[in-house]
Amino acid sequence: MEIIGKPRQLIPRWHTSRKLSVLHFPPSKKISESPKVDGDQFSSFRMKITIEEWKANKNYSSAVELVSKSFLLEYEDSNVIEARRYLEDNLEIRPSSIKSLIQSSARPAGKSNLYPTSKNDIYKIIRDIKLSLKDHPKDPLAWNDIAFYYASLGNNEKADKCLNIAYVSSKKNPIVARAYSRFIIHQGDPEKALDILSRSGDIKANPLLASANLAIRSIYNIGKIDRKSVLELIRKYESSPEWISELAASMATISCQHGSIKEAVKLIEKSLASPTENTIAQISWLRHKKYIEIEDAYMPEITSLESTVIKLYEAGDYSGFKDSLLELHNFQPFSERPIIDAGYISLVVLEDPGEAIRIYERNQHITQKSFMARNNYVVALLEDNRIIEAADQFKDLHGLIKNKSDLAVFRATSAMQLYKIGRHEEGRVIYESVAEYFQSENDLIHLGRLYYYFSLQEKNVDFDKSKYLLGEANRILRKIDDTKELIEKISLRLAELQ
Amino acid sequence: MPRSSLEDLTTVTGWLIKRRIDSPLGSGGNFCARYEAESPDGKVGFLKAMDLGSALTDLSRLHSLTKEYLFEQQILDECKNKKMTRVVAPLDMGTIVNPHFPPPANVVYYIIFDMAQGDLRNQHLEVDEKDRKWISAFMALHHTAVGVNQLHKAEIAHQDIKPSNVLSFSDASFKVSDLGRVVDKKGNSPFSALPFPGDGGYKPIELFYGVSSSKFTDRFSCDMYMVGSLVYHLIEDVQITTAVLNDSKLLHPNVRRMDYDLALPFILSAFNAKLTQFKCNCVEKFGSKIGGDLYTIVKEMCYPDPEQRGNARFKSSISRLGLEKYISLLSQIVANSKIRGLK
Repeated sequence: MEIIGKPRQLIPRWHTSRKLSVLHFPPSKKISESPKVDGDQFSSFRMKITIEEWKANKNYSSAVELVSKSFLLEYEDSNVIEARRYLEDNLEIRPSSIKSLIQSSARPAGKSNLYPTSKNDIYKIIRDIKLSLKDHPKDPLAWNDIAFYYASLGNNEKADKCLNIAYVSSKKNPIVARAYSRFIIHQGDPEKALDILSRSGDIKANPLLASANLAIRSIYNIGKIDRKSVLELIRKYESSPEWISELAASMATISCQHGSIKEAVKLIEKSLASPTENTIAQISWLRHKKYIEIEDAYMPEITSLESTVIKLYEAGDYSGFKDSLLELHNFQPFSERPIIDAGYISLVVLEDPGEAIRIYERNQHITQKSFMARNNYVVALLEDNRIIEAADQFKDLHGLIKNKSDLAVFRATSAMQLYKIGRHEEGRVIYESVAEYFQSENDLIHLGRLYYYFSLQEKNVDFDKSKYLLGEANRILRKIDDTKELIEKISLRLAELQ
Repeated sequence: MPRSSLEDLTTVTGWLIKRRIDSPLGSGGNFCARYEAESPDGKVGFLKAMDLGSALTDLSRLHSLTKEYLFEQQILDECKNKKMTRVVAPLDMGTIVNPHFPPPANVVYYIIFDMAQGDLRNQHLEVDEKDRKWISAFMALHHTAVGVNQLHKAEIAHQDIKPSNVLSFSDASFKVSDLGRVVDKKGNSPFSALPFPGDGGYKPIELFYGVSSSKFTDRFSCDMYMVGSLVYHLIEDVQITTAVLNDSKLLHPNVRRMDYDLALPFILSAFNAKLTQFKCNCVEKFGSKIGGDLYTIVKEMCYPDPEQRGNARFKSSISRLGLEKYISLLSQIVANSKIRGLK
């Protein structure tokens, strides 16, 4: 499983500007340092006058003046509350700017907490952003947004171009740089992602850049991690927890992996003071991997889609797990991992190849580019006995092979195809040769899965061999984490065979 | 306070001080009281009075108050001498002794101006939307821009442009008032050291993030922003900084706690969204020509990146921050409003 099994770090999330606040930042209880607003004496005096004017003459104009000024100077008292209430009456006849000032909880455009995935909807949004860019070409976030939608359509060249414009026109703003680096990670170039971050500011001084840099270095094992400067930066920003949440969680993950649990716990406490959605997902993953134990009562009330995915997997609710993976895809639609996993779980655990086929066909921009997604699609077609359609896919699947492991998986799928058309002997030879390869590489997860599928193909050919292979799959998979969905399946089959 | 009881006294120049017209806390400065006054030939004026009573025990406060008063007097003199037609000029200035107080606290400094009919706040913002007079409002904006430009030509930055500081007079004209917080290029202003001496609720957006510079031209950038914001304010009922910061907070919850460089993409995005909405409203209310011109004015004068604010045709900041283009646009708006038959 891609999401559950593979190591996780806080690679920055990428969201569009109108969803960033909603999806990335759960409502934070803590407000740290005072705002950047400079509250000079004269401003306080003017505030006092504004209050007096409101008290002396309670009308629309003085109410707007007081509410507006109190918002700007971040001042609140009973007069301000009264003036706001005054404006709430008859709000429907007020200009839109007054409405949005009073309805401060109103969310920005786009009611859904997820992104659209239908092509028509995405093209419509792209059209709207293009229109806005015609009027306002100097809008880095709009360039970022359009790039996001191009990426979710799989048009990575256009996405890259637009993100580059966003990056340059924002003067290499760290927040834009983080989004760009995330995209580049998906293009498989972590060094370039690090370069984008480092050209955006001082990696050692800016916690946003430091956290992305640390996460990428850690997950791709690039260069040495400057532990001391990271801890120093976390200490420096202690009074502003919203800036160091991801950095602290990222460092906590590294500490866990090095066995420094005491340090990790301290860092996790800091990261949960004002967490982002990504932080919560990371902490859930650390819990799942048993690096740390946090009682539910101490976890933040707010949750993240990714932590829901982990919870459903742990509970063995695979149907819910599949659905939440699809939601996770709508949350980061350019990411292929949720789609690969959702298809896999439909195929292997839910035994619903039709659903797996639907998932892969609905997300062709992923299926066309990802070897693993395309392979699962071919397996689903074979399972559904759509042999000719599967055969049509083999050439394209071969074109997506990137390494020896992919080649071995490709050969295993070919073996399955041979079984389906009755050429068992040839299929068996290939399966056995691939099994030898995985064994020599100590790639237990692929070996376990191979034995499972080998056993399914042998079921109607050689019952004893099928039973033996199932036992082998069971023995191997029990040695590794996060294969419980398959172990449960194998146990059921073994029970049936008794 | 000696300034608070001047009713029925007469200045040496013959002005009779009549009723007091401000609220107890007053506006127009920390230590001022306002009266109606009448000249020997029956002209009604507005008298602004200031004393040093509360500062007599605090020498540094006394010094700064005196300096502020003398500077305002000097600036007003300059405006009068340079015939700044759209800046409120004094009719008389001097001192008067309040006999109810012992010396030396009994000396009250005063300045008399033309009596205005009102200001943009009570003449426009406090009026119901359906009763608003748009030709007059656009004329007020035009006259304000002309007044600020007259000050700029004299190397003075106003720094406190807001609806209550634009006064309307009986001849349907408008003037910029309250020069109590201006800054001059020569550096004589007692407020030269302050990044922004005006009302903090109206300052340009970057100043909320502590972005300021020691360059005098940046004072013009502030004035430009405030004139643009006044245009937005008269149509949308709230100043643009409030609207933009409110929207950018929805994009990023910590936008108020960032450095300006980091916050700028969010602010720009919110600004663009607000401007698009503003353009739609203006086109709907006033038609595409006037709507388009109003949009250009606000977009250029209030552009959140101070380095790109103003007329993009020019590279040098002095030319870029010139108000001529906007004065001309506002004048066209007034003319087109009449042609269109707006109220």
